[in-house]
Amino acid sequence: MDDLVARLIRRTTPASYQRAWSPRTDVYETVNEFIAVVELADVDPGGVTIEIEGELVVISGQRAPTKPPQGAECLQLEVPFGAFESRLVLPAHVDASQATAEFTDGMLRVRLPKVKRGRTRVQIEIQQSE
Amino acid sequence: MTDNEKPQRIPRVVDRRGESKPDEPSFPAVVGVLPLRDSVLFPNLALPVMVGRETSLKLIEKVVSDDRTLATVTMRDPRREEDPTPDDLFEIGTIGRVAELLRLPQGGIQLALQGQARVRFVEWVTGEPFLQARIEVVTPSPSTTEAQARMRTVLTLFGEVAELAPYIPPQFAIAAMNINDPGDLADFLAANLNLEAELKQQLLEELDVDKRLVAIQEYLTAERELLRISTRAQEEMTDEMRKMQRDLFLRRQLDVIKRELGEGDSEDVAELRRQVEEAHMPEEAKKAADRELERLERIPPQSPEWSVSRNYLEWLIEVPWSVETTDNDDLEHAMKVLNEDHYGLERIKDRIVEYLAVQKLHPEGRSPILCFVGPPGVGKTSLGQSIARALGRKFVRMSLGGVRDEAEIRGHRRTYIGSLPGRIIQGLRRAGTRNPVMMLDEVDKLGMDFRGDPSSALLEVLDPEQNHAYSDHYVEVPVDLTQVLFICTANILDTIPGPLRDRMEIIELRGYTEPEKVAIAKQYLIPRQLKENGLKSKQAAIAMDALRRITREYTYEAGVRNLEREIGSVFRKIATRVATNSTKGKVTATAADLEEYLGPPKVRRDVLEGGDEVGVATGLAWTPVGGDILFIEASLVDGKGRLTLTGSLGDVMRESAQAALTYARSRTKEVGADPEWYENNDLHVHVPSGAIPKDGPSAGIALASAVVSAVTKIPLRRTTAMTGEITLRGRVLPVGGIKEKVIAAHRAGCKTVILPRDNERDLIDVPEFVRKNLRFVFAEHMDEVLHEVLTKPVRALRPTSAVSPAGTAALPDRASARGSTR
Repeated sequence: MDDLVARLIRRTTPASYQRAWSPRTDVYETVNEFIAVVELADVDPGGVTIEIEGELVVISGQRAPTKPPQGAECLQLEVPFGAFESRLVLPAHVDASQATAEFTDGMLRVRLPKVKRGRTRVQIEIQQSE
Repeated sequence: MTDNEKPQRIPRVVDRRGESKPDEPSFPAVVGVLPLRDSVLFPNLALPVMVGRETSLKLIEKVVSDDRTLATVTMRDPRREEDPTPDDLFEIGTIGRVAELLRLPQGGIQLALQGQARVRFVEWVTGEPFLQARIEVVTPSPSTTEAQARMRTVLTLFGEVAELAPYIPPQFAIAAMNINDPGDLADFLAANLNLEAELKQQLLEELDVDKRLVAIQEYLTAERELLRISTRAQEEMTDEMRKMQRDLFLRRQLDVIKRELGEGDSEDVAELRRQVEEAHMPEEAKKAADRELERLERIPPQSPEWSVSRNYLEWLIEVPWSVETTDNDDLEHAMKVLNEDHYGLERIKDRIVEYLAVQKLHPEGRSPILCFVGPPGVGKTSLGQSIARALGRKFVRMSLGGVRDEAEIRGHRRTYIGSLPGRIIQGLRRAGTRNPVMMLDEVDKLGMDFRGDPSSALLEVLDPEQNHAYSDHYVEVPVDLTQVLFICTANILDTIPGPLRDRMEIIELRGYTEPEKVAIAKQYLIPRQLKENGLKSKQAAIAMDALRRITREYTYEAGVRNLEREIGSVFRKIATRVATNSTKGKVTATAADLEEYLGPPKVRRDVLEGGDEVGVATGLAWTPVGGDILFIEASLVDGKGRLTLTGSLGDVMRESAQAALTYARSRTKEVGADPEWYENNDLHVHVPSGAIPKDGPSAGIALASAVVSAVTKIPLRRTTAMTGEITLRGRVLPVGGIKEKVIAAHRAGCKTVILPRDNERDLIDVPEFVRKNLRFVFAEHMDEVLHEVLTKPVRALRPTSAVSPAGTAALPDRASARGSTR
């Protein structure tokens, strides 16, 4: 019986996979750029890295665990800490060199201009082998 | 916060090229260790944990106020209650952190741990207030190409399992797809599949990523098979359920439609109810029937219970509660019918007529329970039929031969599948009236063993004091059997259990004598056989002398079965001739023709052949099929006084022979024998036929006669048959079975029969015809016997001086000669 209960419990609580926690992120798009707003309270912005590769944007960093006040007892802890990572896959390529970021009131705003690229037509000649 | 506050530091924006490995996190060298019961924390995976143990709570307090980092390790024995020592823990654990915490109102803490890396516990730093260890991070082997390839296989497999397994939410399959690292995938699956903690621990300890994946793959393959089977089973079950629900639904609809059409919801039940009303049951049975009807209405007809209930009701209805035939109480008619069917048997016929007379005067009186005892073929069974005919009642016959289960008589309880009432109730139903003549054939052959004792069940049936409320296991309500006329038949009384015998009025049917047989043949057998062989009385006949010869030389039985068979043979032969037109006019078989019809005579009349002989006495025996004669041979040969007894003699008969010998020795002088005969001779006594076992003391005087004859060399009269027990002093004691024995002596052609004086009164049972043709000598002492049976008188014997004090009556020796069932 205990075994069965144990099995049931094991079944109902699957463990989720995460290498890092994901901060909540809003993403906007204008004609020229994307704007990502990331909720990163109590994070040292100097430790935040924004990596861009084509349409992939990865925002990562660290948050230190909250220190409990002196002599206090913990009743509840749920603020994520440690390494975080926000991975965005955008509908268009981003120009990494033009990207900027600012950190205000615990919110990180990242502006990600789109890469301007004209359509080029390439004529490919088909070679016919004898 | 104010508007002036400027961001002090700006996040780095980098152009990402390829996957850059994040820095390996660093961990403290010594950490607190949380022992886990029955679960394993994997790197990069979350694990909910309930903490209640005092030491663990202390560890958590400490950790959350610090860097929130701790190591977990699984306990070897999940059932261990006390605080574990390092010996109880595995060596490989996981370092992780307390991601979330919630203190529960009822005490204890709910944690969400986040695994980070595998660690080995290098050294335990035990002591208060909690367990700590020096750790070393162990790095799994870098993933190989094989692992990459296997990862894809495992993912596919997991996809299949996730589809089948109800315990894997779909988002996990998606989450698994998003994992790039083979080691991480293995850990993810290990944590989320339904694995034993021990297996999980093994996977945690497995540093070779490829091997870890292999283990997962094996598990997944097995799980897939299992799930496929259980899914199929479940589908089948669902199909079945759906079908049943559909059936039920349709039936409901049908009911509604029927009701709408005014056909009534359950015609069957209404019909049964009507039948119950018409059955005129006694109150108790009626109540039971009403109860069952109510039950039947509630049971859906497709339930197996329904037919059980219905069957029961049908049985209840069919028991003849009130149907009764009126007895034909015309005594003369009854006598006429009985005489038509059977020859002789006056006592039984009288008894039936008496019963009718009583019945006429006291109609509510109880029926007697009769038991006909007699040899086979004397007409016991047909007498029952004839009685039923005479009374104008229904006749049911059931053979109890070989019945050995009480339930056959009294039925099975309704809880058994296929249960039925017992034979008595079945018989009543067959008769259709409550007052049939019920014939229980062969009650002496009821089986009785560990499976039950049917005779005990019969006790209730046959007890007039009890059978007004006979209860059958199946019917359950009492049934009145008092109006049933029970007639039992048996060949022997001995095997009928005492209590059962006690309840019945026993009427013995003796074997028929030759003139009776001839009369029966003339009146009953010949007309019947003529008819059966398709002959007319003007076509064939059997002459009287031929009939007599058939009874005497072709049959040897108490009844008339073989006689009828032989008559049948004769008629068949005649029928062949008639049918082939090889004869004209009437064919009459005469005594001389019998060899032609029936072959050589089948019965050898021992008595008739040969004259008187030395040392051969004619004894009489009783067998279940009537009496028989028995020759007792004694022979004196040179020797040393040894006695040899042969012929399958039982102990009683052997002792009887010893007594006879001692008597003979004591009479050496009186009979004028050689005084030294016993010292110089061996005596051999033999009783043919050697293969048939014999027992009982009734051959005593015959044994003594044979011995004396052998000693004195005086022949014995062959036509003088005798029976009687002998004492050492030569007294002759009474024995049983006189009637059968005398008839046998007569049948065998004896002239004189010597009987014990005390058996004289038994002669009243012997048919007059037999008595008239025999000379009887009643002896009290052996000397009288010798005087009668020796062909040469011996003067020293006291022919009439047999003065011996009146002895106590000996028990009749019913089993004086067993076997001899011809």
